[in-house]
Amino acid sequence: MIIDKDLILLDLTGDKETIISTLANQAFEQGRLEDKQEYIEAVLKREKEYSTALGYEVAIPHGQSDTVKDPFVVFGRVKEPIIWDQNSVRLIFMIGVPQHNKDKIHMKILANISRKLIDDEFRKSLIEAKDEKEIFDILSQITI
Amino acid sequence: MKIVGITACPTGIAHTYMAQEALEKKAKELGHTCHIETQGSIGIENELSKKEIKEADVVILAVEIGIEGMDRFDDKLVVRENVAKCISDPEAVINDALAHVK
Repeated sequence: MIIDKDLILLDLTGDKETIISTLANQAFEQGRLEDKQEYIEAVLKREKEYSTALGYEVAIPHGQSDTVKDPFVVFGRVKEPIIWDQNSVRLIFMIGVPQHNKDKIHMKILANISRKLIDDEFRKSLIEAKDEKEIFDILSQITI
Repeated sequence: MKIVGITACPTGIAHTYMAQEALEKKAKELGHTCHIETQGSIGIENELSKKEIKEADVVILAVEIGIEGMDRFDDKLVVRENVAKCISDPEAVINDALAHVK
């Protein structure tokens, strides 16, 4: 599964780097990464090219690396909005994709999640969801 | 007005699709028709038809990698934008593009 109940973290605090590290750690604990540090470096390198917080109170840090076994999304929600580069962010979708990825089905799900982020009602439902299960149910509705 | 375009970001994982959705949604709100093709990690999706290209007033290319089928726009009004701006301020992108239409 690209999305998993164990890949949903709420009430996060800290700055951008701390949150990326927290979410990466969760992905690692859940067996989604072989090398946590290598993945974090790929994500931060991507962030440097240009920020993945582009409005909508969402950031989508992503790392493409062979340390990722199968595509995944770790969902994070912060306790209070944080400033991610110049933008206010409440929801974080951290994406991992293998460098040499042939898996079109998972990539289509990621594409559809990305499209949904523009939908105001979708983001509102994630911000208002009361627990991990509710968020999982919302995210699970996104298919190819 | 009729707008067509292509979005393609360097990794082709997420921003390509956010930009497509942002442009299409905003254009609809502004009363325009808008069809955006994506060239990302899953290849070409939502491919533009010859008819759509022919009828378009303007072509928005938000592409940060080499894309396929550039020759389709040889005799069209083409405006280039960056993918990030299409996501963060689609209204400005659309209005700037339409300002080029005589």
